[in-house]
Amino acid sequence: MTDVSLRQLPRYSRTFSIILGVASALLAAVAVMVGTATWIVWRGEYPDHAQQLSVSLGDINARAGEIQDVDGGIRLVPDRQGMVVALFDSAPWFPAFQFHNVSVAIADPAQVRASNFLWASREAPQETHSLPLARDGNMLRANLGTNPDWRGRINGIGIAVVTGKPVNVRAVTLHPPEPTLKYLIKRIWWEWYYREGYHGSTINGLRGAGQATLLPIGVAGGLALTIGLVMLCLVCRPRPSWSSAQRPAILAAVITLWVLTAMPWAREVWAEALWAVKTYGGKNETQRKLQEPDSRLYALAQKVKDTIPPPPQRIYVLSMGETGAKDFERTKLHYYLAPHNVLSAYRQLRPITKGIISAGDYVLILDRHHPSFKFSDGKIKPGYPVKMLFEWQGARLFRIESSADD
Amino acid sequence: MIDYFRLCLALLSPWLCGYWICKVVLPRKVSLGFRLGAGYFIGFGLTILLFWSLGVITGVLHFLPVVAILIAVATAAAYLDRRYREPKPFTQWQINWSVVAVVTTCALLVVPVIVDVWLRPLFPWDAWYSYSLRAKVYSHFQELVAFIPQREWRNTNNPEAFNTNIRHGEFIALIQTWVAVGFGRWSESLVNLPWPGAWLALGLLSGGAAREQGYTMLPATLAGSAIIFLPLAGVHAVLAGYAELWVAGYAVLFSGALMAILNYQSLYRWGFIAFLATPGIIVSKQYGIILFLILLGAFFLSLFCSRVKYLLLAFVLFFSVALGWYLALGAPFDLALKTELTGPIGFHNGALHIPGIPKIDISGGSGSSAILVSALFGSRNFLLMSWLTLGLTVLAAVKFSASAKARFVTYWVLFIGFASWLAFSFTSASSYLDVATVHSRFLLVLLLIGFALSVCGQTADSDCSVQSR
Repeated sequence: MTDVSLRQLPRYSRTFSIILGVASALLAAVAVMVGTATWIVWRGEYPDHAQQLSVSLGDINARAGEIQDVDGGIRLVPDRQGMVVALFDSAPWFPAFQFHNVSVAIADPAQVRASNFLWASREAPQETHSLPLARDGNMLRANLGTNPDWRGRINGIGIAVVTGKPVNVRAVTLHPPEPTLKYLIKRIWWEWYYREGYHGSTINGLRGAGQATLLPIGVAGGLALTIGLVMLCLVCRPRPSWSSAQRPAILAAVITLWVLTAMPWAREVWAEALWAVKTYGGKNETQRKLQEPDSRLYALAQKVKDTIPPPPQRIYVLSMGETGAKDFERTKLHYYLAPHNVLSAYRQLRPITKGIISAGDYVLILDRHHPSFKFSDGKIKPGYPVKMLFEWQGARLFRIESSADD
Repeated sequence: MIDYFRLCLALLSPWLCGYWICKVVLPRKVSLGFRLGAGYFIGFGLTILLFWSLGVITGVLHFLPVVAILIAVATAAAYLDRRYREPKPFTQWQINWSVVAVVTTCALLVVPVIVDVWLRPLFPWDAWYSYSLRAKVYSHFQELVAFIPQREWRNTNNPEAFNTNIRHGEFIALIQTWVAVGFGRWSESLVNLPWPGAWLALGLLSGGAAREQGYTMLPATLAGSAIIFLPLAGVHAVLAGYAELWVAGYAVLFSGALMAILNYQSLYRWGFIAFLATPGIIVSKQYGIILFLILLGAFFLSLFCSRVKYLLLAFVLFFSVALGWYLALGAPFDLALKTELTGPIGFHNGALHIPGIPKIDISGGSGSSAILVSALFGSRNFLLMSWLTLGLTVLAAVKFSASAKARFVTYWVLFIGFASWLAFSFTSASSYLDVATVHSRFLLVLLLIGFALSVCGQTADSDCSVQSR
């Protein structure tokens, strides 16, 4: 039987080869997307990592009432008005299109007179939206998917409960909608092209659409590449190796898939560059720094620098809280106050060896209300005579007048 | 205006010096892309060395004297090149529109990155806390101020020493210091400008190295553009201030030089380039020395293993890969000799038992392998590059007995894979595994090197760069 592979075709086969490569790549990409969606529909459930989002009950901020840790969950203790508002600080962000329903497992739902699910999004950080939760047996539920405000990237979630007595909450869980082919294909595409923006951990890796991504773009690209190359092998039947007319097909397939998978990143770069032009363009150094989320720290550091003599002065930056936001504040101030000689530490001055602290050193306290940093009779713990130079937005700057302590 | 002129000097004089060093040292036929890419890293390495040395000797960080030295070196190299080397034969320029299209596409990504870096203040945590803190202090006082650990600072009365808890080397901090001293003041955004340059130079280097190994213009340009379009590499260019692009750049330069030597090209010229790249790998990050040793070890093994019987070599390779997978999966079944006197010797219950020493738990290895594989092949960071590198490495391994370059690639993958698994399973790096703080950045460096090597390792061991022209 005559070999009818591309080897025998005349010169124009190079163009045909390229078209073949592009077509096989596109077909493979569509096959991977539709195949994944079909598999999920056939199973009737999502993959484990995308089945639900269980909100951690560990790090909670009570805006009204009180939150207590109990076995198996948290206890919401109402204030005098019978209200408890709990915000879940450690909930990961996620695109709204991934989850459409919320359930709150509550020990005694009969106690709850009213309850709302709360959320805020990246696109409108100043607005908090809410939706009433309906009782369903031992659960409180809401369908978020039909709410027009449930969109964008959800940055913060919480619950508000009106109750006469404390209630125990066992779990807060977000659920995706019923898996349909149309929704899944749309979701896979949105997740590939999801614009995550630059954030604090971007340098460590791009998260894309978060931990519930159905089909990560790296996996999709690899599968499509494999399927595309197999398809090319079946069509071109290289014997024993790829001919010069056939090789452009491989290159074309690889380039096509590379372009498809790299487009979201290119879009991200352009969007962020345009945002940088809009936010920072035409501004000087100080004005740019004041646009940043930590502008308060920068302004505080500038105020300190304007108040004290030129560098190098020794400054001790103190606050409570060894890790997390407090650690960030101290270390960022350490950087902003440079080239002054800064020690950023939590707790008091006492752990610093006696004799190191001298008259003329400065102390910047960030938690002025904490008992460890009490200022009275012209002294701060552990008994250093100080002069307060300024108080600004919860921070106080002192100059040590004498190195004597208790 | 004068400060922006000095800023241009700070950015361009290292590149100019490095380019002319490469031009006079390397063979005539080496591509412009390789010379530009290599010149960037060599130039900045030399600049920081001069900057630091003068700072140590004189006690002051000088800018104009260092620029004068760089320009003098560049001028001398240009003179030597013109005076003593035969001119390159004139060749008619032909426009390859495919290459133009690829370069234009890259430019569409490079331009917004440079604009973003120009405007955006310093952003990532480690950048401002570990490197830029020191750079800010050095540039203000224009001297190499002493930095000691915080604990030591709290216990000693050394009023002139500053403190930091981060133990990274000085190289990255000095790059920002150089730019700040050149500009005349600290700028949160302008000190980051060398980073998009390193990113661009890495792309030029990878494409140029492929060209040296016999690829025609279009595939070589595509190899370079793959680096430009790699998301996590682009992130490191935009959110500047980290060391990874520099480690990768020096390592790709080093391995590109070694590849050229394996290609029967001039040992002394390429050896000199490898020598110039070596300090950059070692000082830019703590694990740079491990990368250097593994690359060097893989290089020497690939030279000499051609004398070993193919069958024995195949057995060693198979055994190594099998053992590696066995350990990576956490020793799923026992492989031990059990005696009444000593107990088990070998792998038993997920641990390695050797009489006389405490058992070593292997089972932790399976967790680290899963996380590394997921980060490499599933994340948005690397897209198709991991898959392509894997495929090209397998293709290179198939040619193991026929090509020293293929052996180089295979040994590199085996050794670095094993070393990484060891590091993430049994050292303090394992505590960072889940958080991506360490593993994604480390994988970025490995992938940038691995991709360049696997592309270059496909061609035969011959003077490919002559045949391709």
